[in-house]
Amino acid sequence: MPDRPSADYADELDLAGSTLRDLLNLLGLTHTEISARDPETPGDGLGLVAQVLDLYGEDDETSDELGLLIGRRGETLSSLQYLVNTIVGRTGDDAPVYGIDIEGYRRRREQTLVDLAHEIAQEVRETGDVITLEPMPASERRIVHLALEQEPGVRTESVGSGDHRQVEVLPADE
Amino acid sequence: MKKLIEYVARALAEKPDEVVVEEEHDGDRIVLHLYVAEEDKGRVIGRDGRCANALRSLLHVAAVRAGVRATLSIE
Repeated sequence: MPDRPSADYADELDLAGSTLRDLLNLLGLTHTEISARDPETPGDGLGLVAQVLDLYGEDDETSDELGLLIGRRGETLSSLQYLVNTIVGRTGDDAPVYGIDIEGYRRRREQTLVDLAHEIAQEVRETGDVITLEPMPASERRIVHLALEQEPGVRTESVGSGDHRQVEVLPADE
Repeated sequence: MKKLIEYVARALAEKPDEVVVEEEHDGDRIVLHLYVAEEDKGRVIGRDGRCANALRSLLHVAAVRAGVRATLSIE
């Protein structure tokens, strides 16, 4: 294994994929498969990322072990994605950004957030109350905002700062 | 764990040849000391420490897998 990514990659996708592969090998997670695909949904980072690198375990044991790499609320996954993109970003200012998903975590999380957003919207319409969701990273707040963009009778805002930034769901006229 | 830190630090550094990682064993805890060229310090730490934090969370994964406790110190 090279001790750093070599500089002569045909393109950034190869660099992103091979950097991810190197990091997995260094973590002893060799029984893993990486495949690239186009982003399809807000949760994939549609409009923000060039490609999504899907990571799966080749066997059940590895799939379980990958849970550790997702981390609590996907925080370790975000760290991994950040490092891969920072390394790829060194190739130039206009380097593309890549999304990473592990065992479909982001997909499932997106569905949970979209379902939650619609339930909350229903409650706001019924009660006229403002409901504030728990703090979420920017990528997750974006999913909620987009899920309720066309929703009648409600609107959304982000409040608070840093790690405590939260989505508020308000009646449309408030 | 040492190789993981070396790999990421070299990938981020302008002067990868100056990246050195030393392992210090302190009971059941391992402290990894990362040395980089002065001008690369900002690169491995990142804006608001984001790179360093991301590196620490990957180190945490490696440490849990190895059954040890490990911390990263950027010197």
